[in-house]
Amino acid sequence: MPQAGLNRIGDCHHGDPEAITKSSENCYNFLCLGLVWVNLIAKCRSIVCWSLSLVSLLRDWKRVAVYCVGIIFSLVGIKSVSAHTEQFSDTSETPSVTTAAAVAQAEPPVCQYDWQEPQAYARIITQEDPLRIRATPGGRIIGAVPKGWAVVILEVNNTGDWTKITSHFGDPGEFGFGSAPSFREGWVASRYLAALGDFCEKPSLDMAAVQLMTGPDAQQYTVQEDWLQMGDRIAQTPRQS
Amino acid sequence: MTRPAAPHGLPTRLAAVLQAALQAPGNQARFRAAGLMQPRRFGLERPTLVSNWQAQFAQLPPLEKAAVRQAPGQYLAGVADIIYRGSTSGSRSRSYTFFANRAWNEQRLRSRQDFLNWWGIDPAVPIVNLASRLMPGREADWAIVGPVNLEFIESLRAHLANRPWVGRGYPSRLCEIASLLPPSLPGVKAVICTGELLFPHQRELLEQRFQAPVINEYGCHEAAVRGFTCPEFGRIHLDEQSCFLEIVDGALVTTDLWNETMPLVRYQCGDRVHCHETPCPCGRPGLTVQVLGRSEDRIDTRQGLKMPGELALPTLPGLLHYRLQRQSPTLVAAQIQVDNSLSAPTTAVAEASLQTWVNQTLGNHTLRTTHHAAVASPAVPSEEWSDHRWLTTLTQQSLSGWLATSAQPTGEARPLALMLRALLAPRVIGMELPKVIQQQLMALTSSDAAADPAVEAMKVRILLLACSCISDRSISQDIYTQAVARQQKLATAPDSALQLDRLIPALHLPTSMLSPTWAIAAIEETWPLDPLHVQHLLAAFEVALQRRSPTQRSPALRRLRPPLAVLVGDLSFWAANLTTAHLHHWSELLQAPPNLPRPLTAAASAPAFLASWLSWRQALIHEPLTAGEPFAALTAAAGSDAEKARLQVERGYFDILRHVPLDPQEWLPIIDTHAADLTAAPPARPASLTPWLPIVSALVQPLYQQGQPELAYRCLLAATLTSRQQSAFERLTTQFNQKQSVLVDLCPQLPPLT
Repeated sequence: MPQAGLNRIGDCHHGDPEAITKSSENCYNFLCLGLVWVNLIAKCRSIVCWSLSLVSLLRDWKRVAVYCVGIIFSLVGIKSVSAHTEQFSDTSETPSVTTAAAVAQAEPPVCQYDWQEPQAYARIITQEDPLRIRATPGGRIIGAVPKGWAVVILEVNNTGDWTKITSHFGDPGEFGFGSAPSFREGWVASRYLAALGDFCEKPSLDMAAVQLMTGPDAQQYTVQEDWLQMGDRIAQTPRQS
Repeated sequence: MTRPAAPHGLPTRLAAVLQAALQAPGNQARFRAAGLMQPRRFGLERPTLVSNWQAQFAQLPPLEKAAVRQAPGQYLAGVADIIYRGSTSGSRSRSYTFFANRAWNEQRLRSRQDFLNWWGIDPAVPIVNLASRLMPGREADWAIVGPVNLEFIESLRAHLANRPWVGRGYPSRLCEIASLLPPSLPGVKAVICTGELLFPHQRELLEQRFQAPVINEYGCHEAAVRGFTCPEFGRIHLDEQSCFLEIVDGALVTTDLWNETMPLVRYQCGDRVHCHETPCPCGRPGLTVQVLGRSEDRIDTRQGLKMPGELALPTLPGLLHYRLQRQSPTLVAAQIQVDNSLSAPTTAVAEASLQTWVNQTLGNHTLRTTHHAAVASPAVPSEEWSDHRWLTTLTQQSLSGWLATSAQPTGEARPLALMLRALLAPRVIGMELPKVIQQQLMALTSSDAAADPAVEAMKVRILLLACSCISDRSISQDIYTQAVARQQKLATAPDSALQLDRLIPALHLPTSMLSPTWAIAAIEETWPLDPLHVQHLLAAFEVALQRRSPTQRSPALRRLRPPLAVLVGDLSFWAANLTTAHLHHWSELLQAPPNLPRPLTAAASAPAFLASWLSWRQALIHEPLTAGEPFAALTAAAGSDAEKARLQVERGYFDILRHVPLDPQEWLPIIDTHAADLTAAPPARPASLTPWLPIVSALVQPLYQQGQPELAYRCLLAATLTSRQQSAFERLTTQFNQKQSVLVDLCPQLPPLT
């Protein structure tokens, strides 16, 4: 199961080029229910921004109509597929990481159980925000995956820039997961994936994370970090001047 | 069938548990709706149980596991007496952590030993957990983990002492082990199967190969459900002293009678059981049941949907064991282990019999067979590295990176690599000094000097590390002495890396052994750390804490919990600027009175923050109540973000030692603001809480009292540090030793939800 206890409450941080702001993630929950109109509030920086955007929306009767239709659609379980990309803010910040391209090419041994083969995993390493998931490389946005999640690599495109991901449990379908309702199987920018290696089970070491606060900027912390990885991390501490 | 809730009247402990459960916010609406909670006139009084609670208890709707997993903090009824931290098994990879009080843990141990006594398994008989995610439970117990192959069997044999022992694990894994066993394995008193359904063909194989009786153990950890088969009739008896048991429509519904910290009342643990109508003829107490499987595990058969435990998987001559997975309405995959001692035609007959059983029971399917032997054999040969590459990886790159591979050096460093792997990534967990390591150590200490000086120097370093990994003080001292003797024979002068390794055991060895070593340590020396040093320091911290009871530690370390977090947090902060004075300080923290000859302070040339920190820590150890002045000096010296963050940590320690209550409203934002500044990691990783853990731990109680149980739960969850052995256990078992389903249907035609 995805990480427990990661209650994501919307905020409006700007993040990586392929990363959605957290408010956008919330917006995206609406999207999944057929509400395309929320693009205006994607760039809000706080709950105040949310409120202002909502007021602004409600001034426009057309949007009110769309809102109502969206609610009706959501009630009957109709999922909108008309999401588009302008709602997501882009910045130029890019992390320097290993891409997952090499991982997917490794020849895995056979798992010791359950007829599976080990799957290639990678960690989402956007700076601030969830990462967009697209239907095709560079294509339509269909979802988002939170920072810090371990995902399964399905394939990498010819240029290596885009990687198709899914969850440990496969495509979660239209409802995603409790703490990642926008999670879908799809393509993400490879540079925001850190290769973890091949595992039969979802790699749990270093996975468990917890937040001590519930606010939008709450920091994530590792819980029971692997002893060896902790040692390596400490040994890599840069010398203080 | 519904088992009446009170066959002999409700247990007396139930009222206490219900009263405790009322304090947990997650229970209150449910209890109120069931008429179990006194109406509160002003909404502020402590929730109280109604007087006629016995009559209302059955009205309480069962609590689903998913509800607890979603918001576990809502089910915390108190945080004052937490002594036990456990995890649900996560049969569907969705586990949660629960907490329990002292009385619960005592009842757990008592109940378990009572069951073991039925089989004559006294506390001195070790229970060896085999290839499972079950941690050793009692003092004598240990575990061996990792892939099941011939190396596993060899390792098991090598570690067995010449005395009775009990094997324990998941039936499917035990069958894998059994199929590789030699004709006779000495001293097996019994085999305990747990965690999965046990089928007759598995029992037969285990009895035959282990030459011992098979015990079926049933349990649901978080619900305190425990059951053992009786020796006479083989029925599973459930412990009704630990748990109030009900069976509602075939599902087990439980109320833990001892956990008043996180009481789970009328909890659906997710298992379905069949309750025997008559008492067991053996005369032992306890409801007796047949476990049918997880509620969600249904098998589509010709007779409709069945639970796995309702189906009689046949014993087939020629097949040692097998597992079946219905993958589509027309395909069943079978993983089989053939008996190689029989002829090929017999195996073919067995496979044909399996096909027949599948067709007769599940309907006509294609059977796709995989031979287990091919799967279980070690598929990946060791990658071969030069000695130089191995040494470079260890000292300049990553230890975890090397250990994640199967790479071994090819030259004279090979035995060193084996030793280091056994120390840092042990397969045997919970045993004081496994025989294999003992033998490898003896071989290393008596070996000739390596031709390559770099390899010989590494040999000394690994021996010094070994002396910090062994709890037994006298063995540790012997190894240290021999390592130092080897070092003195080195052809070249020892480099600083080796010198530091020689100093680190000061954290746990007696002063008399270390005086010559300290004499060579310059105060102003700054020690560059490599990954091996860090592992050595971590191991030395651990062993020093193991060897000394809390009363033997400095008062400061007694009050700051977990103490390991203080030391690791210090190391993490000072890793790039470690000096001899740090080692001296940690030694003082770890031992009261200090075991080193003289107090060390920072050299005159030391950075201001380091000098102030050392003075401040001296004051903290010796006069914590009047350390205001050195703390003010530390405050003045803090310049960088990291130093300011460190200052906050020290302030928290100061408050804890002065018994100043920590205010969560103040401290949680401080931690969130500063934690990343203290984390030596790429910014994309979650931050480390290690140095903050004593503070986080101290916030649990006030958070709970302020009505924030979810945050209190998160703090409880975070306020722990793993260990070398726990990490190794997690690493290996997650990859190789999960539970398996012997019979599973991936596409049952379930009835529509109503």
